[in-house]
Amino acid sequence: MFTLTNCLVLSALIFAVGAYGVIARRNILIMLMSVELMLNAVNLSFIAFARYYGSALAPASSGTTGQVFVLMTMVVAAAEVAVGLAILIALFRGRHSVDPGDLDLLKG
Amino acid sequence: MDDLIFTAASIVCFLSALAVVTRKNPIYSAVSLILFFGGLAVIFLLLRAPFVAGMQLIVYGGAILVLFLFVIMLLNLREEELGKEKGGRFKAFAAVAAGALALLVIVPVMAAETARDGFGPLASLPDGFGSVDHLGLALFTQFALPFEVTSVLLLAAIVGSVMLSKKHV
Repeated sequence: MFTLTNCLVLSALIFAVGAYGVIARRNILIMLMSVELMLNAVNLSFIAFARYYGSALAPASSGTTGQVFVLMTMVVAAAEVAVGLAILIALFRGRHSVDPGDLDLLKG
Repeated sequence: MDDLIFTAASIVCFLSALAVVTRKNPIYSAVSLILFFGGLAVIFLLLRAPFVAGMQLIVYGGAILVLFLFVIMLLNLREEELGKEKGGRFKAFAAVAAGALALLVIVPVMAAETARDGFGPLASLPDGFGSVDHLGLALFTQFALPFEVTSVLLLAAIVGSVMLSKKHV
């Protein structure tokens, strides 16, 4: 059924899958993808709430405040991926590994 | 009809999200991620957010995914470089932790659903809700400052990634 409740449940499930990926995986590429999953899950909540309550709670922007916030999230996600992958490449040059366990440069 | 599309899209989304975190080879994860973004864009369309759905496909499905694929190609990881995965017990612990995280949201949402008999009827939406002109108007009037600050963030990201990817930092 296509209801706000189900959208929120789906969002929570996807967020949990992403959190599992960040905790359990040992590959920075896949961890970054899992972060994307989590960001997208939150975006889904925003869009769903904007659809159901937006025009009642934010009449000034004709209810699109949630959608504007999602656009902001997309910008942050794009910046995060660009910088994250650049860091990954810089680290891979020296270490030849994408395992975060190998990244102990700051250890004394 | 909406119910059917929503059910199909959410199943696609959930399964492809699971595939992203479980595949060993990152290239399969990236391909599943495309599927995930596509399914989510369909749900956004159902939720009357056509502009955001388009942006989802262009920014996530286009730009971010291409970035991931480029890096995967560039690194060209061999089997021994993939990173040692944790054992089954650690993964089980992670799954329990993530499941508890999901329950933190699902339980109160379900409680609200039963207590209030759902989240009420659909609010009536203004014409053209979620269209480019509505969002553009909001972005350039009410949210003009955050919108402009975003450009500073993007500039910082551009300079940062160029600096980081240079041969000698």
